[in-house]
Amino acid sequence: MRVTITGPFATAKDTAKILGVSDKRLKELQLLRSSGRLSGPKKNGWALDLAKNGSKVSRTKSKTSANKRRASAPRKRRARGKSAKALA
Amino acid sequence: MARVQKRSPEVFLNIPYDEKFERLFLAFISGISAFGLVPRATLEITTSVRRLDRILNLIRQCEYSIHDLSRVQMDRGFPPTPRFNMPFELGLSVALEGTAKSSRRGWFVCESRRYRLGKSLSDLNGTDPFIHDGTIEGVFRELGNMFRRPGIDPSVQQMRTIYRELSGGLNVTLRKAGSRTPYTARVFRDLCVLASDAAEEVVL
Repeated sequence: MRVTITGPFATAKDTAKILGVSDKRLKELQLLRSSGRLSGPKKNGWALDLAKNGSKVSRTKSKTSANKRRASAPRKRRARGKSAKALA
Repeated sequence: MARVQKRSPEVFLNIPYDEKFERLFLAFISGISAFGLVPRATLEITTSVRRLDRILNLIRQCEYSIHDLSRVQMDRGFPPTPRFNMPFELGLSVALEGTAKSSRRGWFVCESRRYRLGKSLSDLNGTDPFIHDGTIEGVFRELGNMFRRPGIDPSVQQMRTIYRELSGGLNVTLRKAGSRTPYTARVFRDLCVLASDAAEEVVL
């Protein structure tokens, strides 16, 4: 059976008073929270996309050096492929 | 005329102070704060003088108590001994609730596995333990099964938001206190204040 809680909701000030935390320390802790330093572990790119869009989004693949070389090669060689250059 | 209650209700948290329990320790603080309650623990008692008296006073001034018996087991250190502190403090709570002048309103037993309590503490047969499965979500779920606050019923998601802030702040708090473990008086107090501050924003 669930117990019904009576009494006021404990605010940070109430908690600090009950636990014997000084006003100065309470302010320090509140500042620490408001500074955003306690936002928890950093999310990676996929997790951020997921949080932002609600679903996974396709992301372009980062170019490897081989891809860059292939992209900048002359059209003829691009058409022949990598092995064709070696045979020539 | 109804008695006006000025103080926020307090919860005596009787848990194992070990490294593996750290995440659940933060989960309990987050969940309890989400209900607008103030967590209390024997961690606050730093002096060894009349320790038992001070534990009794602490339990007496808390309206509720939560006793986690999931780690009542043999330790690895020599000589292997079971941990009696948690069942002992549960016994004190049960006894205090029976006294006439007590303002206590309830005690709850938590376990990680079903049927384990019946084997380890058969005197409590007939008492349903709250099974949290040893998970953070489980702790939030079971706190929701223990408490209700009219008008404010924090969701598991809200408790998780508070937990995330607390977990993010743990390292900063530990560094400030020069401590490696959250099981110290100063770190415990800081965590409780941080959790209450977050709860005020997230739940209210």
